[in-house]
Amino acid sequence: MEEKVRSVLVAGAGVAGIHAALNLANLGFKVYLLDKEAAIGGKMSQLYRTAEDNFALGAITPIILEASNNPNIQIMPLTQIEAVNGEPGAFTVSLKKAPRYVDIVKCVTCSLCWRACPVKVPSEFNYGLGTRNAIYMPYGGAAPNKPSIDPETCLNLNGKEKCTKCADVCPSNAINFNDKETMLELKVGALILTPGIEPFKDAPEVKAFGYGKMANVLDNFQMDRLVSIYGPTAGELKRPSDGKIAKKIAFIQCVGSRKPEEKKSGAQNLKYCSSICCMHAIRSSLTIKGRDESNDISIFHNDIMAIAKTNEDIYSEARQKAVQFIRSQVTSVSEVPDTKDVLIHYLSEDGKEADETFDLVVLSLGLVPSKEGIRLMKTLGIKLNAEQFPELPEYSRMALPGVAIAGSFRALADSPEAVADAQAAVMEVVELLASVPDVLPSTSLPPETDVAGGEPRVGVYICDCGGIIPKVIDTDALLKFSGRLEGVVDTLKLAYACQADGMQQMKSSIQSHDVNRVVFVGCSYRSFLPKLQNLIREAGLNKFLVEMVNARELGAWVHINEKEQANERVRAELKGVVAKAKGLKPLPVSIRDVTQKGLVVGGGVAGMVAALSIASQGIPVDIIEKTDKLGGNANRLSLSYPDSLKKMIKENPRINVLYNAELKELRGRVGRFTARVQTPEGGSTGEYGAIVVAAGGKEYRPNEYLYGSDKNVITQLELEELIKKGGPELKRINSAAVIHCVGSRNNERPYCSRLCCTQAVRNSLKLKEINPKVQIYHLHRDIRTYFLNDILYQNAQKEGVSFIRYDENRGLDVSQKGGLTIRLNDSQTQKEVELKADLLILNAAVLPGEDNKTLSRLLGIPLDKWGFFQEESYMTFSPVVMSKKGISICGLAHGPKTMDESVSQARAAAAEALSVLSKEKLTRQAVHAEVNPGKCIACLTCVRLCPYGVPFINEDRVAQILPFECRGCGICVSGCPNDAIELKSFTDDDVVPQIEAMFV
Amino acid sequence: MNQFEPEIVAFCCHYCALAAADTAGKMGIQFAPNVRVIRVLCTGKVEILHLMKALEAGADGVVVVGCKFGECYFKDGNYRAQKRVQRAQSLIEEAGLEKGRLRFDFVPGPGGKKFAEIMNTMTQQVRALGPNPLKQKQ
Repeated sequence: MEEKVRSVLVAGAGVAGIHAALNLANLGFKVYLLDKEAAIGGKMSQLYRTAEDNFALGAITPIILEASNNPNIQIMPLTQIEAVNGEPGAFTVSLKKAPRYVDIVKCVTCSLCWRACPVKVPSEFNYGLGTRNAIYMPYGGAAPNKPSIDPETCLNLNGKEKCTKCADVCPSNAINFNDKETMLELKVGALILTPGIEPFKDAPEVKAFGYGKMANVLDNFQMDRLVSIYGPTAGELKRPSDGKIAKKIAFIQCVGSRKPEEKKSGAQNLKYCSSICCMHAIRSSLTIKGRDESNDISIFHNDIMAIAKTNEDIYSEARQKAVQFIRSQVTSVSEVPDTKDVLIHYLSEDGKEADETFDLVVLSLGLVPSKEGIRLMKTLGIKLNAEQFPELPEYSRMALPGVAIAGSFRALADSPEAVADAQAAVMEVVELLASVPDVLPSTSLPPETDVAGGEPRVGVYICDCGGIIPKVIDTDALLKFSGRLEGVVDTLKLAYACQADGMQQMKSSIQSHDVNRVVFVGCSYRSFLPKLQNLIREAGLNKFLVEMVNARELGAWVHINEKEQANERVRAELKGVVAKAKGLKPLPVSIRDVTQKGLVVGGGVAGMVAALSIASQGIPVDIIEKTDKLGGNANRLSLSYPDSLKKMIKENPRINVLYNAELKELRGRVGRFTARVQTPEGGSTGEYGAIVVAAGGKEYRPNEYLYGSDKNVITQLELEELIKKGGPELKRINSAAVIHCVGSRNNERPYCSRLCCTQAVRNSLKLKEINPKVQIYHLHRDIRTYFLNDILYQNAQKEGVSFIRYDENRGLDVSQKGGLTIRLNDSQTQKEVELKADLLILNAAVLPGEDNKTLSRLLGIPLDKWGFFQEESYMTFSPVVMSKKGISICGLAHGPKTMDESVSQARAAAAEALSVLSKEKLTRQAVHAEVNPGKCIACLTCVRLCPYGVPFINEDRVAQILPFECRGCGICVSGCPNDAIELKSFTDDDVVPQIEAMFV
Repeated sequence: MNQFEPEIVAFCCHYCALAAADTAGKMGIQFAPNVRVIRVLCTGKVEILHLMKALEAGADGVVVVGCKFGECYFKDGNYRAQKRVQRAQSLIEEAGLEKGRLRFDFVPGPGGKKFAEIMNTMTQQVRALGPNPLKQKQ
């Protein structure tokens, strides 16, 4: 048998793949991250804004560069899998690497080549809007930050001409027209496939609506590039026919998708819902409205899929900002011959026909698995379902032993979900390879230069961020200015400081100029400071001898029209930090032993999955369960999965369950938390390295629609219990009605509970199975059966289940006269309807757990405005990462989600916890407070003020603050009556010169 | 006549205010370029000395931006900062300066819009007060 290796191949370097790679590298795996394109980043790098409404490029760049700089990750662009042989733990993968025709070692990314290239073809990165050359980079910040030649359009390579213009101008002789395709082999333990999705342009409806024929009919991806200030028109909505600025814009949703009909031959429309296009259209609309309120936007839609917890808010914001939502069926799209305006003919919900003309029409295309992904599935022999998505075992991402599939290729989802999905795949792979030993070499660093006593020698490094910053900040002038500041001995401007090249240039410059304090002008402190610290450490300097000015997020992006003042502002801040930098002192490294034991709060499905995943790595876990049994809400569902989990928990010697237990107190921080837990047997205290919060949620107990007073009014979960018991009462009923959104999507709880539409439709199908003659009515506002769940909805319609949309403004009334009677106003017929039902089922909202508030306070992690736990969404795409290190979150505690989504998040949360628990020691080198024992009078002020209880009075009767425990807020410093404490890097000697220098 | 462009020092906490500033940046929300940002790890650390030094050095106003109440990364650092700003306000009033030259405000991490609003409000507030009389101009 071949030896097993602790390495993983991740195929597809979009946001999901990159996250998987980073997660694996952090857990001690060697990762090969490959993509068939010349640059990594996938669809996310082309998007304007993310699901969290950040600039997508700004959000993905930090993780792209983190992956690019991680020594355990090898990025392999232009590479595809040809064949996979072997078994889990010991696969041999044959790869094919396409030629780049550019030597990336020699290339200096000077841009001369593509400026010299005579070829101009439509740019794929801009979805055909705008052009690129034959030698090109898809966008300025592409990683690797090197161009490639497209052999099909290059005149030399396609044999049309003997053109060598790019090679002639290349200063470093990097162009190689003779570059060849190469084959290579890799040994890996497992594979994670994240090949992504693409828009489906071949649907009959897409063609019928003039796509590709009418100039002013674009798809939603093209529109996104048009809206993007980094797109081909710099954000101006120039319509393709005449360059006129479009003011009146229509989005048509579900074009070529959500169509159940089947044609006998040729391309079919898609049946399913693509999940993300509604929010994409709404976000684009808000951006357009935000730029000019007079822009007129209409969205022709069916059901609006605002399914993530923040989506409904954004949907209402769009309605408030007068985006027209027209519930309708578009029947035709045609071009007005003279003006090239686009005429939409549609049937509104009440059946009336209407016409409207627009400057620009956007078709929201359905999404399909990428061709590359389908090819991979065929290569590996993984079965696809009828909709061409991979078939996977239930609650698992492992398609074959050792081959996991994740991201939007597995299931269409927004970026946070795709990332959680990828992390779940990572966890399954890690479980599979648990016994393979870690062999990664440890990195060696040069000794730190002693800077004590010597004169400060400041280096100022200014990044252009690929041209983003110079749009507002004159970096050339700033460079000259910085050279004149006292103490500055080296200045350098970089095209991309974050790329390997830029990093290398800074490092060499620091070393060759004997720089001992570094000042960087570029992007965000929050995303770049850690990388910069690592870099200067590699250059031989202590990590804390660096300061930054943010000229991007706090400059070029927020002062677009006030260039002069923005430049003045950056100069002032630069003067300040140079003055501060001169006095900076090195900070030491402290080491913390990790208590290699995990704590899971909550014993529902999510908690059990997380505990099992952590225990799979040989790490003991305690579960705190507040009731007397495991299973949580799942105990009420007709599923066998929770029972199998309970059995595995029971049989696992590493997992200890504390029943009827309650967390009472939590102290400490990542690596070493101390938790006090109360059980009926008494109180106990345990030490844990990391915590997973899986505290669950609950079903809303309705106080509307006679619930509680009429026994025939039940909730969806109660129906599920009846189905589980196979109750005879279900066989006796003739009619049932389902009311959707009970307790959610209202003023009190504006969010959508996400899982109830699908659950209701699934239960209706089961009810029809138990009792085929039962008449079922769904009374709803939108049916949000996202992704493949939409097919269940279509099946229910086929089975004769009626779906009636009611007018929410006129409400819905349930009374008891002669049996349950429901009165409502049908939105379609605009008529009052009266229905009788033997059974009324309420789709009750998903509520946050009642303990969330207490837990939030005890654990020191925030809740969102609805009472669910709030993930940290700025630094990461992952919805399981909390702002407090060492704590991750999953399941209903985070927000409404299905069982499968909870399981996926639970594995992701376990993977996060293991990034701490799998290590024996954590090292920490951070800003901390230090007591001057000579000045301390032991007045206890610091002991009283510290929000984390860190200071204590030591044996010498003076206050002491341990650097590992201290979080560096400095509250004790400003409170100390005798000035006996200072916060390293933020002492008066640091801050006062900074303030003063800004006004010199 | 050109309108007076005040120079304002903004002490911003790393965890909320700078996250909000990043959000503003990433969302392209525009705001007045009159502020000069000083990064602090917690507004609870900003001492009266630093507020005074900024006015002494020539700032026309100083704003301290911390986390939303109840959401402070350091639990209650923002309350302390608010109290301290209030105390400093009464001190500068004694010295003959308007208390509006100092301001405490708060913002949650995703609050890009709020961050921009704070910067704009402070700029307008100080612009209305005119230049810092302590500024020694030739």
